[in-house]
Amino acid sequence: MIVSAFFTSLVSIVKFLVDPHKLQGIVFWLMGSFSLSDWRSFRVVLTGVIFGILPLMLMRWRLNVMSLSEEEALALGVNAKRDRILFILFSTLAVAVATSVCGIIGWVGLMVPHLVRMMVGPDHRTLLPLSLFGGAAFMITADTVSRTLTAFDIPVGIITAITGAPFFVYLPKKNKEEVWER
Amino acid sequence: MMLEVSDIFFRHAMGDDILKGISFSARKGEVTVILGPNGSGKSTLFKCILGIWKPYRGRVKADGRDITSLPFRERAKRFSYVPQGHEPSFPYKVLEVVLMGRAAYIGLFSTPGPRDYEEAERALFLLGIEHLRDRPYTRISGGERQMVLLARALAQGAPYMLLDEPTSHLDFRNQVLVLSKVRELAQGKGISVLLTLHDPNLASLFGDRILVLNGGKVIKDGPPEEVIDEELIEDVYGVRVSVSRVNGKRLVMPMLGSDELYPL
Repeated sequence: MIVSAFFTSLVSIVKFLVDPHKLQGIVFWLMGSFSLSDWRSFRVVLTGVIFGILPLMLMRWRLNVMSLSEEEALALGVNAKRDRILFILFSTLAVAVATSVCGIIGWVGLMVPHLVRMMVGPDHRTLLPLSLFGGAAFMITADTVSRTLTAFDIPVGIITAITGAPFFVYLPKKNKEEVWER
Repeated sequence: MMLEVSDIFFRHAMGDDILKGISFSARKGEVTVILGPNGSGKSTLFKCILGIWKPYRGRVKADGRDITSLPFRERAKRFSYVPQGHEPSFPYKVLEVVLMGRAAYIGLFSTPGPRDYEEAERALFLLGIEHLRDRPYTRISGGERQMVLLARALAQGAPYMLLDEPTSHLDFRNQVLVLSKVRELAQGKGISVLLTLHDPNLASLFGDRILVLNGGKVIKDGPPEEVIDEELIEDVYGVRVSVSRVNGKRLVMPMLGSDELYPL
């Protein structure tokens, strides 16, 4: 909350100082949209995302062990403190690079892994790659909807928020009946 | 093959000493029961041996080698651990849980291979729980769960096994079952087992040796027949008891109805 408020105010400063003609770009970025992306930025993002996701994919079995208590992970020979930093580092890289181009597209990263886990179970060896493809499929669907719903493009971040928010109202209810179960 | 703990001292930052010079050794194929009241330092001792907490004085040696500064991965190949009151996070399948015991042999950028599956399946087989293989770990009974954790520890392939109160949430049958299996593993595989218990009767039934801890110190150490007597139980637990001999084992009974059941 505090961190979010701080960075929101930094964004406001940028909005305040920028050339009014470019302001629309910022607004689109904040709402999350693919409409400003091109093939040049795609190449940049692809490189960054690969460098972030490849190690995560290789380390994915570790996540099983790390989902236990830290004490147990240590006793099993996994240095949970160090590995956690690695995971945060690589996922931050991938997310930061992607966000720099498409803007703030919320809810996908929360919703898709939850859904996939409900479908295939908690083993990260399958969960991680399927979440990746599930997220991509969901984004293509959301983007198609955002382009075809009206004559002009609705920023895709609005579509994901509209689907994502109700999901997380529904999730805690389902959670009581063991949502983690297959 | 021997574990030597010598003169271990531990305290939390700005706290009093919890362990005040613990020394003992544990031999191959032996079950050593650590007996002691709540807060006597049993769990703390385990965490110090596992390297989760660092003692500020003293040494832990395994097979003559000082392991005090060994990295976790190397330590896990020597010591397996069954924690107390394990809270499952996600409904992993039983086999997936047992596979996690192989973590010390699986590189950071790698996933379990055929050898790891083999070891995990073998552990399930040795404990007689192959039928649980594909069940979600969250949907099995407390006794079955304890067996799964035992299988995970076994898959770790370590010469020393530490179990923190393995019987605490189990019914009578499962207590006997788990402790019999532990004994079997110690004798059959030559594993040196250290476990903490609250029940002096279980300790004298299943222990080759009993180490009595109180107030962070070793009070007594030896075979059950030498360790368990009226004086010790009164001393450590503050309950008046009569100790009888049944089938060569010591049996502890509280003297209900006595005027001075709680002498301390």
